[in-house]
Formats: sequence, structure tokens, C-alpha cells
Amino acid sequence: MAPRMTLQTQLVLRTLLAEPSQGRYGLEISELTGLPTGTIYPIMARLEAVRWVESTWEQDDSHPGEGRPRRRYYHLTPDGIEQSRLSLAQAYRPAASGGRLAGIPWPEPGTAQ
Amino acid sequence: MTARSRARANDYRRRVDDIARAASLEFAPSAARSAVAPYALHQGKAWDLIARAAYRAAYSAAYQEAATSLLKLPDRDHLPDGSTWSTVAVDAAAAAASRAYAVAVFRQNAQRSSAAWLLRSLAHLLPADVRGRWLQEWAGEVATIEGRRAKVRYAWQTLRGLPGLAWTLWTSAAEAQR
Repeated sequence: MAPRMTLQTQLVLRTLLAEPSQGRYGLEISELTGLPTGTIYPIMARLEAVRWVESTWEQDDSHPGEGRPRRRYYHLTPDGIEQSRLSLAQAYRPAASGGRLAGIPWPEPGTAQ
Repeated sequence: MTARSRARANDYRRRVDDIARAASLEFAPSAARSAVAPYALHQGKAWDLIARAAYRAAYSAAYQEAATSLLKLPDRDHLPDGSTWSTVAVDAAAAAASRAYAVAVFRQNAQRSSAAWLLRSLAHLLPADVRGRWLQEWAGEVATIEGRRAKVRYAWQTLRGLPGLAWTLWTSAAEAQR
């Protein structure tokens, strides 16, 4: 089941899609999208629930000497990349249902004056 | 040893190692007992044995005896390998270790502000099996933020999203069970 494509979800997906191979941690996503972390974490949990996103702990040896706890990195799954591209494209497309855009009748092909 | 029990043993070892690290983080190794013993007392009789086992492992690990103590842990408690009790004990000890570690790391790294306290308290809204994971994640984030004000802002922002996160996690868990 696809998650609800709110503007915030779209922003997060666009950020992750910018470099799909690179994992991003919550605070980083928050900074990149300009959204508060309180918005980011529920979105990441939803995306994880539908398997669009996977999260992994930072390797202990990737921050030697810093003496801080591990970060949690999020990255899109192959299915997530495909699905989020489709969903984002759909979100930006003029309303396709019934050939109408915001209530305005859309001319059938070949009927334009 | 089957692949499943090996995986469980590895997971257990990793988690007990976590609790050892927590004990060393929050207290000097010589005081590691203080980090884990109170936890054992709060778990009731059924958990006492398990928590004490985790404590002993943590205590020894703090003294660089991790490998020996962790490998011998099931043996020390005379838990027959493969029995239901043994399985329950290992799982429970793993969960206990994980939670204790998460809270200790969070305490260690988060500012002792009202926001951090609230965040830790309200984390109880989250399902128990994932609570530790989120606390650890927040601890990891807070540790990289510079400045008390920024840390408090982060905690408050996260706090505001906590009900939404709880709702998402509970509904996902319910859907997974169906």
C-alpha cells in the first residue's frame, strides 16, 4: 500500500531520490527538507512500513574516535525508488481522472478549436 | 548449533555487549554494578535471574572479560540449551539489555533538560519492541547537535511528532499481525 503523498512526504522522497545510493540520517533529512524532526520521523516510519525505505545502524568503525552513539541511516529500497518516482510523477501530473483539472473540463484529443 | 540458534546467540551477545558499553558509558567500570543492578530490581522475580545474568555479563565485560563471560552466560544460569525457558530467558535478556542500553545512552547524550526528560518519558507511547531503537536513534542525533539550545529545540520538535510516530508504529504493528 502506498503512503499518503503529502507535501512533506514528497519533499522527503525527493531528498532521498537525489542520491538514492546514499543513506541519510533523520536530522540530515530534516535539514535538507527544512521540515522539523517531529515531521520527519513519522514519515520515515510510514515509508519503512511500506518497505519503500530501509534503515540501518551506522557502522561502529565509521566514526572512529568521535565517541558518540550510532546514527540510523535511511535509504530507499529498489522498489521504493521505483514507487516513489512514480508517485512523485503522479503528484505533479495534471489531474488525470476524467480529463479535468481543478474542475475545468479538459478537451478531448482532436476537439480543440 | 543450528543457524537460528547461532543467530540468536550472536544477537544476544551483541545486545549484552551493548549493556556493557552502557554501563561503561554512564559509570566508571568499577561502578558498572550500579548501572544494571537497579534495573534488575525493577523487573520482578521472573526477570531477576535474567537481569542478573545480563548484569554479570556487563560487569565482567566492563573489565575486559567480555568474550568469556558472554559465551558462558547460558551455562552460568544452568539453562538447558534449546528449552523453552532458555529461549524465553535469552530473548528477555536481550530485550532488557537493549532497553537499558537505549535509556543509558540517551541519558548520556541528551541534555538533561525537561524536553529530553519528556521525550524519554513519552517514548512509552511507542510499542515496546521498537522503543529502544528510536531512543538510540534520537541519542545518536542529539550527540551530533552542538549547543544546548539546539539540542532542546531538537527534543521539542521530536516531541511534537511523537504522537504521530506512535500512531504510525502501532497501526503498522497491528497490520503486520493481521
